[in-house]
Amino acid sequence: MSRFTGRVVLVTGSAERAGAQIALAFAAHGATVYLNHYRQADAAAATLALAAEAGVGERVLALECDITDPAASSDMVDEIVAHSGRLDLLIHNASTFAPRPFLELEQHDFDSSIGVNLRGPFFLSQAAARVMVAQGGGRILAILGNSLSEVWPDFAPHIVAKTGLGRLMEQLAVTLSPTVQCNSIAPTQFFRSDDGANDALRLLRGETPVSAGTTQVKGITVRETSIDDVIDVLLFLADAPASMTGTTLPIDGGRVLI
Amino acid sequence: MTGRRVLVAGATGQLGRTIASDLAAEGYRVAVHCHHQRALADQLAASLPGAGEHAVIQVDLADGAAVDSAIADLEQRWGGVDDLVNAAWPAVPSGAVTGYDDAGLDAALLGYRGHAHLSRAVIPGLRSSKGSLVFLGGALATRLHPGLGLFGAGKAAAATLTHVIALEEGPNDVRANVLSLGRIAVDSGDLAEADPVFASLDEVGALRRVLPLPTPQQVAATVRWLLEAEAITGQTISLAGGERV
Repeated sequence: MSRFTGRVVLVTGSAERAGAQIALAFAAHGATVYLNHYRQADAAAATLALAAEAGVGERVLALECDITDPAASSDMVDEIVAHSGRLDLLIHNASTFAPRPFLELEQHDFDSSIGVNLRGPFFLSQAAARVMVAQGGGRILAILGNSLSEVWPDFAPHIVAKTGLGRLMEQLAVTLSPTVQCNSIAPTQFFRSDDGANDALRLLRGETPVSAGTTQVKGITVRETSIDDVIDVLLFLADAPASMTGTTLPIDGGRVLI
Repeated sequence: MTGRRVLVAGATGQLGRTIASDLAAEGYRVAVHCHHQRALADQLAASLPGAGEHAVIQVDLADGAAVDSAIADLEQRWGGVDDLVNAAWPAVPSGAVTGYDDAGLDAALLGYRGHAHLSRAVIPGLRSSKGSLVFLGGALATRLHPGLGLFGAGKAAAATLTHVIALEEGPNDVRANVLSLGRIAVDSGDLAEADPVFASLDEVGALRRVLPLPTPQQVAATVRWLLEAEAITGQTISLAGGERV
């Protein structure tokens, strides 16, 4: 029996890229994984095909849902429970990450980021927690990025929303204790999700790539983060001791200390 | 089975014993450190899975020269030390800051000095094995409580040292992390039973519903994960039921 056999996992924003790899990793470890996406049917189909190739196709299912809509999120959770009988782990992976100078931001930029990164996870957590409390256990994990320790000029809505999401996980760790454990990870940029905007800024700040695996920050060589690192830590937190809750674990080679 | 050689400092306490047993069960060779309790250390080393592969090291960690000598001797006997878990921490008197005397202050610093001595002695060896260092910190280093300043300050100092080691030794592929613990569900040696100041922490915990308490086995499993998690360095992981928040 694999490590997560019998467990039911929902990963938001997992049609492609990091979310898809996280979903496939949990499936490879035995879980039934719901791959949430919104208007990404083609990408989701490609990931399902990868799951089939890996021999886990019967345990990876795509669910289209706009998580910024609380009613739709609630329906998605109901559908998971109707099909699989439970929900053990929710991973807040969905994210928007569009750079725009603060002076040029418009309301929809703010609303979009808050919707995907904070408002959506808030109400989806509520729907998931209702199931988890009723079944006597569960886990909620959030992927924050390094917004809590670093500020980037052109990402104001993202920074604010992710900081709120981190605090939400801390709040829920206490609110839902001892039944549901809630933790966050804070990896450095690991999937080039900003199409290079952060790379330019890093150079400006004197953060020089040394190799694919390391970067110099203020003269100190630190390890870079990979998707494999992120998956390793998520797998750990998914069945870490129940008393590990309310934590935020940076995956940054120690950059947070500098 | 890893075959890695790990030194567990403070291995005669309940947490240290459990960590040593867990690591041995997972294939580590364990150097069991003790200060006074040699018989217990010998007994533990003999009882671990893979008996005969393990070692005992007896030294007062507060004595830097003695630590250097003992580690050199262990490395010669054993061929090296690949990883370090520091679960050693001396008893620290509780009481208000205005009541500190030099004896109390010295006692509070013993754990920090010991951690510095140990780290200094083992790090050169850890470099060649891409080793990992785990320090058992305390929630009281960041969530402060009247009367427990000496304890918290000592843990904070040692945690800071651990983080700096992560930065200094990162380029050498040595990782260093802190596992921050609050109250543990131990069978004996519970500070809350011995000291009313520690006991008063439980009232705070109850208010914030910080349950359940981790067991020593859960602490050990988390230590083992930290030893092996190549993704993580320079971090403090809290295993304290949400006490920090």
